[in-house]
Amino acid sequence: MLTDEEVFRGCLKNDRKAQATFYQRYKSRFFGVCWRYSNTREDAEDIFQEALIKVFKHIKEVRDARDVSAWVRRIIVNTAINHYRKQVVFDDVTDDVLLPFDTNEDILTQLNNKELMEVLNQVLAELPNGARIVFNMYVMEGYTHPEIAAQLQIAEGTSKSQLFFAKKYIQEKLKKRDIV
Amino acid sequence: MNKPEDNIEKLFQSHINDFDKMPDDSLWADIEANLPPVETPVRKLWRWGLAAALLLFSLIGYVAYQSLDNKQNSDIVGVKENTTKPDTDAQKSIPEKDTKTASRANETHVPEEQATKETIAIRAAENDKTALKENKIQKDKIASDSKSVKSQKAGNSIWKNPVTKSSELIVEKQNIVAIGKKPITAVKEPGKEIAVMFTEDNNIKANETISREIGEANNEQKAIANAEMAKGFSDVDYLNNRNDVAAHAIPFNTRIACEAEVQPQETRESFFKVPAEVYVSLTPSLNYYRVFSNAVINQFNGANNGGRVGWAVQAGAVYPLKLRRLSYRVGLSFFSAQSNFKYNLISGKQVPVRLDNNTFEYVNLESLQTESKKWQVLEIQNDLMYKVRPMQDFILGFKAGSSFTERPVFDAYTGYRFSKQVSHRQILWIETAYAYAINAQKSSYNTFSYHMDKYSLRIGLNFK
Repeated sequence: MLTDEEVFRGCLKNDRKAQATFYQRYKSRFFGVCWRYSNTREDAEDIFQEALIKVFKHIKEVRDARDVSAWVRRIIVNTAINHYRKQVVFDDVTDDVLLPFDTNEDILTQLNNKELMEVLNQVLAELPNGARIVFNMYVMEGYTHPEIAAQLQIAEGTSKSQLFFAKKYIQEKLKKRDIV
Repeated sequence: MNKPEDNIEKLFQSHINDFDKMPDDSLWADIEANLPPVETPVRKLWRWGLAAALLLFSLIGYVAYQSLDNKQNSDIVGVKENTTKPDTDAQKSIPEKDTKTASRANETHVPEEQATKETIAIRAAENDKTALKENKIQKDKIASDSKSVKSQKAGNSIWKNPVTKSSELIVEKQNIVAIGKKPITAVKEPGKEIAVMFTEDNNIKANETISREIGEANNEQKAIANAEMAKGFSDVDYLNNRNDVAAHAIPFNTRIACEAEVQPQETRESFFKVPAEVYVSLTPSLNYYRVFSNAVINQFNGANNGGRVGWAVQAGAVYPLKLRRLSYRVGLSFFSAQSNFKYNLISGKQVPVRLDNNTFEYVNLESLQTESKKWQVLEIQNDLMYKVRPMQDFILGFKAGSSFTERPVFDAYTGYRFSKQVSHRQILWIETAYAYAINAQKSSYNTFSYHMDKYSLRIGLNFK
């Protein structure tokens, strides 16, 4: 079995076997990232396909095998942003105060992990595109608001309000399902 | 209590590794089809082959042109200089065998009193005027020395007639070649020229002997002319040793003229030729596709969204070959086009289709496919141009190029050119052309291969 380092070296040489191994090894993780940014499976697959092609074409930009995972995630995020760029409208979201939020541990423990992830994925998918992208970038990828603003070419305030809106929206959705 | 937003963040972040999802199995095939082609050894060979072919073809073109050009240069016939500097000792030592040739030459052409020293420059017809000037200069110089040399009798002289007209050239040549042991009755042999020699008892330094004689010529122009002549001669095998000289009763230290082989490879010309014309041109084209592998596709259409249109820009040079109205044209061409294929891909999978309640028919699954390619090809174009009529040329050529992303491109090319002189240095031309891609290209998904037919209209300008 090829090590990660060997797979990386093979991908650098455009070796098809190494690329196939890379794909098989990381497809679920990276497709999951695509899924979080998408509201349909078709969109997720389009983003995934486009991102992976970019990854294999430009993998020579990565110097160390240990950096590949983070680099691929950045490629995916950028691809998702570009995918939705024309569709995203960053509406002026309301400034409603968030409801008190506390995790209902009882319900969470009743849900198995798979069911919980189904719910979280579904709630994410229901978010408007702009809010979903900002939420993912801030919460899941760890971008700061200035970084998000620069990447999406929006104002920092817009990034903050979109995040606020996303959290509020998720909170309400989870509440409806008695998770919060 | 934590802020509600913090709790949501924590909820998601705590499950960040649980968002994994499995993509559809068919996705890898789609990704793989769009990846850069694998560099197989054969593919690498193609690239090297292309580079080698380009180099070879250009080299062949250049060498062919050089050889033709050298042949044209060798039309300069020769220079004969005849000076008598009798070496009495040597003359005595040479037995007079077979003196017929020299005697005949003397009887026919050389009154002894006039044969002291003469210089004759013989040129091709187009150089006659130059030759006349040179001869005049030579004669003037010689005349000043004639008194001092007159006392030396020229019984051993061979040539005397100053030949300055091309009409007399043949006669002179016949006399010259008659000296050698390979006499030619009509004209000089192909590849041979008339050389000036200095009879010296030295086989090896025959050419150097010529050079030394040039130094004695005491005339700059003449010396240059002789040097030009001397560089090309090699096989001076029949008048360069004691026996040959003796056989013809020619004393040593005598200037003679004889026929010698030409060595075209010895040239002082620069490697790069100055072309007769340079050109630039712009070429819109229409591209058609000949598709193979029809078993897997149907309803092929390669002309979607402007998929037929291409254009090219060229620049290059034209070298006249002066061989049956032929010219050699070489240039660089940059071709750009967009091909948009649309076709039905027929898969091997069959599905039942209900015709009526009891009847099913199995049909192949078809899917509509599209494929776009942007062509940017850098080519070297080599053409032979045949002048059919004034300002009209028939062109046959070959183009080899690389698209950098696709397979190498090899095109056979033919065209017809109409020209019009727009100024004394500029010629405007239009050329209808057809090019056929000799090698096939493959579609991105390897579902078919195709050849291209390109119909083009070149508009160009030549600068003389």
